[in-house]
Amino acid sequence: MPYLGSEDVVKELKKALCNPHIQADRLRYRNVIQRVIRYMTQGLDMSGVFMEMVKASATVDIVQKKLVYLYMCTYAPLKPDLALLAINTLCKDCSDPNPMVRGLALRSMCSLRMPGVQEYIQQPILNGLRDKASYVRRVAVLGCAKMHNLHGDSEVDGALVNELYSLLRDQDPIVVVNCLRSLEEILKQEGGVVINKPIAHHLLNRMSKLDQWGQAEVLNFLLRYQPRSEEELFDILNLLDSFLKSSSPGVVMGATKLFLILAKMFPHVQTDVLVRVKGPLLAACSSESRELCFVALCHVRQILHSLPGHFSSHYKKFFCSYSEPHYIKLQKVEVLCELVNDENVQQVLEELRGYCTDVSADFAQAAIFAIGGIARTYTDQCVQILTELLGLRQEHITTEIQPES
Amino acid sequence: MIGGLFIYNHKGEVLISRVYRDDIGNAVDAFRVNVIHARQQVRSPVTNIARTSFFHVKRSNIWLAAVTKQNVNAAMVFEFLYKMCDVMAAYFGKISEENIKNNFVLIYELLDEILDFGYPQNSETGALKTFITQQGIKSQTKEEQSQITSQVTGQIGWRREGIKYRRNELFLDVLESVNLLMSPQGQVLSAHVSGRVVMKSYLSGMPECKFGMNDKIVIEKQGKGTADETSKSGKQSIAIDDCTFHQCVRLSKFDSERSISFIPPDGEFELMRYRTTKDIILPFRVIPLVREVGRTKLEVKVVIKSNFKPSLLAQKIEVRIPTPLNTSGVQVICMKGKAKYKASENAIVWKIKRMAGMKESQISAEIELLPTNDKKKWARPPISMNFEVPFAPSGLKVRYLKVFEPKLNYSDHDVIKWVRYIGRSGIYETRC
Repeated sequence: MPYLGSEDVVKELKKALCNPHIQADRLRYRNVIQRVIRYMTQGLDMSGVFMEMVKASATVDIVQKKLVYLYMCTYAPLKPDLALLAINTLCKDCSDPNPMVRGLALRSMCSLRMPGVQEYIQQPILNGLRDKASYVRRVAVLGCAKMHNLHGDSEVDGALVNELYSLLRDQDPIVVVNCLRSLEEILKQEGGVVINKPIAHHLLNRMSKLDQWGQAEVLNFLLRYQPRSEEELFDILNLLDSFLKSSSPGVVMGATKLFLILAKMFPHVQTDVLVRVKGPLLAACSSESRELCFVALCHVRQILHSLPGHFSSHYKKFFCSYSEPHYIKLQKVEVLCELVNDENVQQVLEELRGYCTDVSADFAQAAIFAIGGIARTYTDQCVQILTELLGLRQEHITTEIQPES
Repeated sequence: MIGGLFIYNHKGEVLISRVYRDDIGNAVDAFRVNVIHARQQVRSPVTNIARTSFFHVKRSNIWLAAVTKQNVNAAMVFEFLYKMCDVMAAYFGKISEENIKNNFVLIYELLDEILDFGYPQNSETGALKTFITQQGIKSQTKEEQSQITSQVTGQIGWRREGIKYRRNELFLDVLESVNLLMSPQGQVLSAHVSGRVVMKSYLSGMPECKFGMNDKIVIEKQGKGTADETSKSGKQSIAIDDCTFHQCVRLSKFDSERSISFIPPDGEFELMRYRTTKDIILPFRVIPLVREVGRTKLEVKVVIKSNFKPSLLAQKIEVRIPTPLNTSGVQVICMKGKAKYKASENAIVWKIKRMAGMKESQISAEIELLPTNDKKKWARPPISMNFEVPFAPSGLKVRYLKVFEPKLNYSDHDVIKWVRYIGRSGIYETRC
């Protein structure tokens, strides 16, 4: 988009927004506002029509309201004096009978990143925390975090924090999770939200009612809870066992991490934990989605760093298919290198040897490097293979082998 | 959690940008420079630049990137990006530059709802459609308002009360993807089938459904005898390695009796995902024969055998035979289908429209090579296949899907049920 014409565009839109004919026709009015937003997204400076947009926010049309609020949230930091005018409408909308309008207004007000807005936000947020509709409560809880983010230096409001802690017992599952996130941000200086025994047990009991995002978050927060006794530990493991087989890969990974960390605290439980975790992780490594496959492979590598040889019997799962993307093949080769043991070394070396003559020079070199790594323990076989490869006299292979020897 | 979300087109121009945290300043440009315009062809889905992590997903030629400076759950971020794509597709179809530009307002609305302050919120498409306004105001009556709140906070969040259909129907699709890696000697190196059961239900009320398949554990439990007896009586059972279910399935019942019972969401949803690695029916067997004649010619003969019932037809069969980089010309002879040498892809592509079970087809090719000074030995890439078959390669068979709705006056017999099996090839490679 040429920036040269932006002034003309702004003038034209200003005229259109002030035109009473357009204002009377709901659809046309909305179209003009949509054009403003479009130019804004493309990078043109639309702050010239701020006044007209503020006037447009006084409407019954929810879609139009959303558009105007979006505009205001983007430009408020640039024109703080004008934005204060908009706040009046927003405050009014926070008491609208329709819960969606209330939620929308509250959310927009909290996203106004400009100094001085704090005094106006506090009351609506407090009202929102006690609103009948769960939709509004969710927005209000996150609003507390946004408010704190804006004014990082100010003191933490103790009353607000207490209110949020009590909302952890709310009926609506999303409100509960939002509370955790909010408290985490607000109490960052003190190390985040405190997960004590009653809170941990309360969360564990509600896990099944949460959606996948909530479950992943709670699993993350539970990392900081330390079970006092082995009995408690096993209770937790049994409760969370089903999440290892969740249909959401994010939840599976979160549960895996929690299990492994719990195992570190009680080492003799480690074997049991690893057995439970192995299945889902291996399944994820052959996932159809490439990104999740990549993430799972990275996790497997991490586990092998601390517990080498754990997946050794499943080495075949890490053989590379020709059509897999580069980044997955590289991860698999690294994993193969780490899980070599007496039983599978022959087959693994043969497979790696096949990769050394691959079309892609990067991949071939990675395979050679891996053979070099294995050579530290199984010198004879590796040296034999490397000598054979040298015999092929291919430059990129030879350069890689030299440092190995 | 997520500091910023950006959508770019193939040129790297920003289509949608939403920043949630102040420290994600120049991330928009950083991603474009370091990932989209990077010189490497294939980029890792996770990139770390200066303590900022970029996660991206590509759909046709659109890039979706999530940026964060915190230590987040990577799988969660990708799952969110996929969900974002699903939701957008549910609203306006294919994800393309044009569709995004035409619906950018809707996308901003959606982002507000599902990713408030960088934290994923409610993202069930059904619930979202009730409160994302697309056309005009919907002044909600009190009834609708209460319905929305109860759907969002109620016992059963995935199905609302009072659904009525004249015709009660349901469609079950068993979609499988069979993956194979075979050695040159014909030995299976690794094979697995990943499948999903997708259900489209148009049922009234709040029906209880029970899904039964030929799960080995269930059959053995029912006392129909040991594995030997079942194979004798012709009833095949499959051993599922692991499976995951939709939220609506009662897991406690599955753990105790291995039965899958649920109240389905209205419309289409994925009931379960599973994987099997044993007793897979490999629909095709590829037998390659490669002979090097001197240094200037390569003779290749590939036989494919279809390994399923003669009454079934496989479709969209494609066999790719890779050729060396220094190929000068190729002559192919095949009785069935059409084969063409594609120099740009370095492969002979053999396409057969349809093939019945228990049949054999053959292709022979003579590949002429240019003499090269390069003493590089050509590492033969494997022969890969694509196909679609109307049965489940894992051997899964739907035994029943019973519907009970005691409150309304229709019974299990009144429901019209359709089942179909679609088995596709995933990565199906035979080394040669």
